[in-house]
Amino acid sequence: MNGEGLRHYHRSLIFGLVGAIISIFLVSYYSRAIMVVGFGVFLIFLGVLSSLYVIRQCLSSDELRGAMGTIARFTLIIMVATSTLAITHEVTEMHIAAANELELAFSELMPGATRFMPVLDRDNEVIYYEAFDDEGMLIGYAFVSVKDGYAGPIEVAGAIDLNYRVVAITIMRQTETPGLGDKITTPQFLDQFTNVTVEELHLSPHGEIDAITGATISSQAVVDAIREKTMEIEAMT
Amino acid sequence: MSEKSYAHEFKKGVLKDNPVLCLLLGLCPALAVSTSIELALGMGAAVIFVLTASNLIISLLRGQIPVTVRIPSFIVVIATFVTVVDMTMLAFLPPLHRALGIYLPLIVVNCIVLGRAEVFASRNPPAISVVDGLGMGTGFTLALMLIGGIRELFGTGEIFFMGHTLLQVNIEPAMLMILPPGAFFVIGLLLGLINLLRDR
Repeated sequence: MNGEGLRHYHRSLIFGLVGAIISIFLVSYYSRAIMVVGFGVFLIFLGVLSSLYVIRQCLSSDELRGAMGTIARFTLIIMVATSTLAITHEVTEMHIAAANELELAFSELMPGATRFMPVLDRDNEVIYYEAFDDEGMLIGYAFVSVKDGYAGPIEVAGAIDLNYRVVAITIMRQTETPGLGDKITTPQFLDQFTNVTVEELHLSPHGEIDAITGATISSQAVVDAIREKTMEIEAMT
Repeated sequence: MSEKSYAHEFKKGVLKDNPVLCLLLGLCPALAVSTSIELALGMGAAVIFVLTASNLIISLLRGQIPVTVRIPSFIVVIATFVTVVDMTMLAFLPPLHRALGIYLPLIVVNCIVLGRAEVFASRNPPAISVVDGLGMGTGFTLALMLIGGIRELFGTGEIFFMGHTLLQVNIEPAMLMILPPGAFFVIGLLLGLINLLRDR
């Protein structure tokens, strides 16, 4: 291969490499299966394009065959790699989304916060999250708390301010009796918690929260979940 | 290849050519994620998987990978496995994933992994390459656990593993050992000790 041909050959390889790196990055972070197919087509296109480049510049057919082989093999390796990543993504997506779902719930509870930093215990399990606003100021805490209700565990997400007053709470998961216990998910019940202090976090008449008629156990579980976690955070900060 | 040479390749990675303590490769994760035995084991397991899997694939493809683009091809294979580990850990072991942080994706540029691909896997049959990967990975893990164990013991006064306290000593915990300087002290002293033993 002469100098000119060699230079073009290298240039086409660089094209392929840049495309490959970009696609690996994009696929590993944002991939959907459809995107992989798209990238596959894009890579084949890139391969054909760079092959044409080489065909125009290369001289002997042996060199041409060698260059085509290199491009084809490298493209193939990358396509297999991206497909592997896509499959892994499909499998892990749901589990990873579960973690993001929490972040989403927190931002709804505490609209002023932009960043939630986990506070970990010795086993690297999350105890609660510190909520920061966009200037990096600590404005409160967010947490998830689980308590057994009437028909199973009730998972509650909550946000409290720096004075340990409840900002808002929401129910993440529950399996309470439809039409009765599951009224804990209604705004009428959940809105009562806003601006309530730890001392007032009891069912009335001992506190500020009115239980749902006929669903005292479910109501109690939610109140207890929030109060216990708030007290834990208060003790740690 | 005989039985003996498989055992030899494995032992080589653990002892004579131990990547961290003898070849001084992969020092970045060895310094950064060796604050406890548990963390060291998590990192080690990830490296063992990536090293063995990439050694196997590269060895299988050794006739097919074009010489001109062999390094990019190796990196693509390694990066794929690292990303697989990264995603799987994020999905199923989020606490470990949080603790390892940036050092997990950084396995891609770990010189042990690329080094074994270039020096060993691309020139040897699959079975022996797998053994080489396992040996080197185990050597890395053991070295990391040794450093992590020493730092944890002197830094916190106890060794904590899988929710149990394995070992407890009555000493004043030296915070310094958990902090980054502690890693340099421990690795330096270990290297000195090994060189001393070697000279004998």
